[in-house]
Amino acid sequence: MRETLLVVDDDPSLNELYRLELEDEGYRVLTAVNGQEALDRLRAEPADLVVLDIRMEGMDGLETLAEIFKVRRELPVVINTAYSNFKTDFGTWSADAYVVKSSDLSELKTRVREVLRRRKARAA
Amino acid sequence: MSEQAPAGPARPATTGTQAEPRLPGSAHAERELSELHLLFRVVNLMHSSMDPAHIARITLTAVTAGTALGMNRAAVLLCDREAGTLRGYMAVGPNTREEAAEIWARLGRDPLSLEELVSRALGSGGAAADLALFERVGALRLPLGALGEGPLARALEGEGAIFGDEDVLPHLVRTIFDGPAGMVLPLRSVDGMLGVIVADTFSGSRDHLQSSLPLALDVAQQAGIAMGNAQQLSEVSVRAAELATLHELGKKFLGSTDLGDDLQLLARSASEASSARSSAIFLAGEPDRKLAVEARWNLGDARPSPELDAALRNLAEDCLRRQRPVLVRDPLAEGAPAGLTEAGSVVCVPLVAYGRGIGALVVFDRIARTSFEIPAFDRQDLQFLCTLADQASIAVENLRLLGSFRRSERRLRETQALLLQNEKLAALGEMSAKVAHEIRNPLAAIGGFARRISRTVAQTDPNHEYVHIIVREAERLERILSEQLQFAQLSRPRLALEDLNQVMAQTMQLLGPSLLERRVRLIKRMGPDIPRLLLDADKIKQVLLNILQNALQNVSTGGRIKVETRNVSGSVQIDVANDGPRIPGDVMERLFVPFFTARQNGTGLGLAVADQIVHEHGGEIRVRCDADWGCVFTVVLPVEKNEDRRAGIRERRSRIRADRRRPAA
Repeated sequence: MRETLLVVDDDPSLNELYRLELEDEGYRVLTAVNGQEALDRLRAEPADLVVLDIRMEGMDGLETLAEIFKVRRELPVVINTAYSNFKTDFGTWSADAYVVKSSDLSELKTRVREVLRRRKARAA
Repeated sequence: MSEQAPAGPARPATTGTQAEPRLPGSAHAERELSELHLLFRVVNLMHSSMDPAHIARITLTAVTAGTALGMNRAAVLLCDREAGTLRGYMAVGPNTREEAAEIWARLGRDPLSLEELVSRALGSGGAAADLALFERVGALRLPLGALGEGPLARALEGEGAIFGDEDVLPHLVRTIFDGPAGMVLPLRSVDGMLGVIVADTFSGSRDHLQSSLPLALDVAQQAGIAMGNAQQLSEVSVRAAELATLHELGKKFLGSTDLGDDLQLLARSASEASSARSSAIFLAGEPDRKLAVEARWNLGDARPSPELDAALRNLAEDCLRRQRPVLVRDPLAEGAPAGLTEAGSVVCVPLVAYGRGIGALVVFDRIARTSFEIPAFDRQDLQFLCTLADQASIAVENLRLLGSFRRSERRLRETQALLLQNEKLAALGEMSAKVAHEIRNPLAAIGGFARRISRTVAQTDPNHEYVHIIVREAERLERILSEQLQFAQLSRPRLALEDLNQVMAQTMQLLGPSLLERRVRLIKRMGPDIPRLLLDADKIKQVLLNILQNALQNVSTGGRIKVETRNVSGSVQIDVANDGPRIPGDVMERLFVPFFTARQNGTGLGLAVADQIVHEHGGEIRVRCDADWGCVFTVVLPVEKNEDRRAGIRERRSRIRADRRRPAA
């Protein structure tokens, strides 16, 4: 069964890029351009993993992360951001992986695959 | 009396060495007349000269030439009030009776005019006989206080006297002037007693001499006046030259901005104006006030020996400490320290500016101005050098102050520039953070889509290459952005106890592909005894990565990079060496300045970031050029400070644990 990913980024072009690239990897991909839309999407359609940007208009990624965990504590989250310092400075410990945004998506793809494999292994 | 005075000796010399027979009345008158002629001509000749030595020579020639005074040998002895002696100054005459006979005979055959006689004697430097006598007289040093009661002492009181065997004459004088009779004549200038003329005869008697005494006294009187004038004139001309030197030097110092040039000029002027072969200027350095030679002047190639140099330094130190000039006229006679005896006469004057001793000027090895002068400095040289030193000290100190003012001004400017830069950097940091998000997203989209396209475009399609250009350029922009962010986002380190060798190994792993691509050999020397250090592993990785990347860019393809960790007393050191070309000095100085880059595609941030991180860890980065390796970076991380921090953290942790326990209790 195809896994479903939710990509949350306030840049529509990037959302489109992630969707295309991750679909090529064999995932089903949903997108949202802000935190609220992401939460609405999650309520309507359960996803297996969330790729989350941090700096966003309105509800930012960290707030969104907290809201997601209120609903689904076990949902894996990969943070994908332009800011490498969130890696150490913020309470991003609760995320499963941390990727610095790049035009080269191979790291993002690797992390997503790893996180999903780990989850599956734990569930099994 | 007129200028048509007859030439030739006042009276043809007879070949005899016997006393002349008494003359009848008219002949006596003729003789008196010719004696007056002689005196007149001698006086004329004397007063036409302004050289004391020349005058002395004329006088002595007149006293010994011809028969007017009937003397065979004569000498001038001068009072040296500083040394407290009566010293031989000049002598004329044959040494022995045989020589005298020969001279008389020669004069009889070939009568010379007095002028000719004098000029010939001066021109040839004196006959051999004269030289022998001159040497014996020149060595005479009679203490002024111990001359006793004899004719010599009386002459010094202004009274001419005849001496014979029965008179008490200092032994040394009598051994030279050992004829049956002689006379001592006072040599007095307008200002006071200069010395005496001593003369003797091989054949004349006391009585005979008695009759020529009045004439001899007249000659001596005129000689004294002429010598006094000449001495004063030479004194005046020396002073004038000294004043001219002071004036010249003052002018040059005022216009100069180079301390080295000025010191050299001072050394040279001091030497030249005081007729010294050598001089040296010592200045007290900061902060230990140790004296060092800052300028030297040596006539010819002469260079003082190390012993002399050491002795001069001691003298200069002593002189500076007491801030008083020192005159060592004759180091050998005065029992000066061993090294100093090479120096001949020495004068040392302190350099004092604004009441503070700044050094000393040493002038040594005096040149005799004339062959008859003793090569020793006197009070007047000392006085001149003191004046010179006073004037020069102020100029030197002003220049030194100017130099230090310039240095502090430069430092101030540098600090200001640094502050400005820090401010700029802080602003830049904020801006970067804002801009990064704005740029990074579209950049990721551009690059990302370009990658997608590149996968669908056939290799043969020219667009394939163009799309690749977009991919590569986007990557480059992203890299620049990361470095900027690294620099802007230097937050407080997150410390943990880490194994540095392991951190190194992880970093080097990241570099693997680039090393392969450039075929660069990586030599690893990991120290076995590296203590675990409290550090931010991510940041230290960044440091090592930046330095390694720098090294990689510096080496040529196929080159070598060496990485070494060491435990060096109190610190852990990481060397990253590469065998690329040496870094030029001006680039080396600015390696860690943000935005400075020697490369076309560098951001100038890599090493600046590394430097800042290492500083935050309480360490430093050193760079040096090496014979084997073009360039070696050394990261020094202190172990001691590290332990302090560990202690601090342990303490905080235990406090936190205690706080946790409390509510539970």
